[in-house]
Amino acid sequence: MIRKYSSFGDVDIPGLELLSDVDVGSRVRMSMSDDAGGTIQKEFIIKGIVKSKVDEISTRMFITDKEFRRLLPVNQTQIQEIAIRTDKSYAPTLVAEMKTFMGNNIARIQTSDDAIPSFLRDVETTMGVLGNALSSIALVVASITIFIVIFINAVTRRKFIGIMKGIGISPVAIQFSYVIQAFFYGIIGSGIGLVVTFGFLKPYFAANPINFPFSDGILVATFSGAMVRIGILLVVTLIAGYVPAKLIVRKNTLDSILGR
Amino acid sequence: MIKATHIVRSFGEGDLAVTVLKGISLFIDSGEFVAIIGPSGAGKSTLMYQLSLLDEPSSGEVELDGVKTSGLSQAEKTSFRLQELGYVFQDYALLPDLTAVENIALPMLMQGMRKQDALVKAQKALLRIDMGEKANSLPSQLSGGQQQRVSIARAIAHEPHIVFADEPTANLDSENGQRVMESFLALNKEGQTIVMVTHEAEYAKHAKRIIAMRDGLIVSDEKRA
Repeated sequence: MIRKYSSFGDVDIPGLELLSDVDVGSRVRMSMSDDAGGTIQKEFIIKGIVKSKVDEISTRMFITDKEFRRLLPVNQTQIQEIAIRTDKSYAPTLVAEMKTFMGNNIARIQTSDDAIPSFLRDVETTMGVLGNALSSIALVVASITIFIVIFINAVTRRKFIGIMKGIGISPVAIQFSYVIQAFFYGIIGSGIGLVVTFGFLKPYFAANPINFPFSDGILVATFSGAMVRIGILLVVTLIAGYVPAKLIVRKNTLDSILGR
Repeated sequence: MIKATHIVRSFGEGDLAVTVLKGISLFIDSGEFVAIIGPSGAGKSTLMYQLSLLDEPSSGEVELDGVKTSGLSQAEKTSFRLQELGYVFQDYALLPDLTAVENIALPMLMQGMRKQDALVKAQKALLRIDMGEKANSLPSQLSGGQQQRVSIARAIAHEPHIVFADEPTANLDSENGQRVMESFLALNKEGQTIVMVTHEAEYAKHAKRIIAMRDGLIVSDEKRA
């Protein structure tokens, strides 16, 4: 509607009237028909621009409930959509209550999530699958890395492991020390991951979203989700630390001491 | 007390089998200082590994302080080594990341002793070998002789019944070798049982008993005054 922000602002399309010299803060007068066939005129101040990559949303005008009441008795057939702001967790309950109260024939009643176009939902699902696949690959890489680090560490200290066993230190205690070492690596890695993700990447992509044709792409990472992944990583880390330590510690004590 | 009965130790199988110990029997009483000597390949280190539970004989029985060790599981042998035996290795075998006093305290910590108590006992063991001032030094900051004496302190700190030493002077010059032997003598005077393997007659003469080996057999067993 406002030429400055319209995709068609630089061309004249017959039948499409765009508002020139209008911007945020401008006062505009709107004319609407009422139920009796008359005309209602009201003035509005443009508070802001809803910027969206979906034209269906960008071409809409949004007014608050208070402004809407100021228009009454406007012809209600001119209202295409009523948006209700509520707590996200309460939205499904509200929708169900409204359907019960109003029935299904008067209007389509749905949550904002339900209103997301299916292609966007498919994209979201695909991104989620890709994210999980990348997480799985990262987990495998991390476990292999820790396995190699602990294995090399244990191999290079095989003689000392032999000595410790020789002087009577239990193999379980020696293995435990390597598991603790692996666990420490896991904790440090997870800490760095948390700092990078929540301290840098997430804020960065929030400020500089990826410019997809249909939407802006941001990094969706929840703290609870990260905690679950860290939990899985630490379990895998413990196993990746235990196995190589076990392989080395189980070797013959005397062979280890003598380097045979 | 150590009692070995017809110890045989073979390596390899079939035609390639090599018998290093060919049926050795001996008795070492508590408080003895025994040197096992012999040329390279005589089997002296192999014998010590059998007596100290670091290896298992192919046949025969080793009895330590009345315990028949052939019936012990690996875990029981590990526990026995921790509680009853002390070791001094040829190359000192100190853990490089731990200080001298920590190296000595480690076996006692593994026995379940409180850290403070273990460190106090470790410090006392260092004082017994005149190394008290090196308590907080890392092995890399010590000379070979000093490392070996720390190793001796580690072997005795938890008050084992028997200390086994495998070529403890092999990597040392004569002055440091002499100091190590003096440490052993002082410990033995206090009643510590010591079994030492060496190929150097100069050091073996400090022992009260010298067992000579050749080709897997004991060829002489001499007690000295």
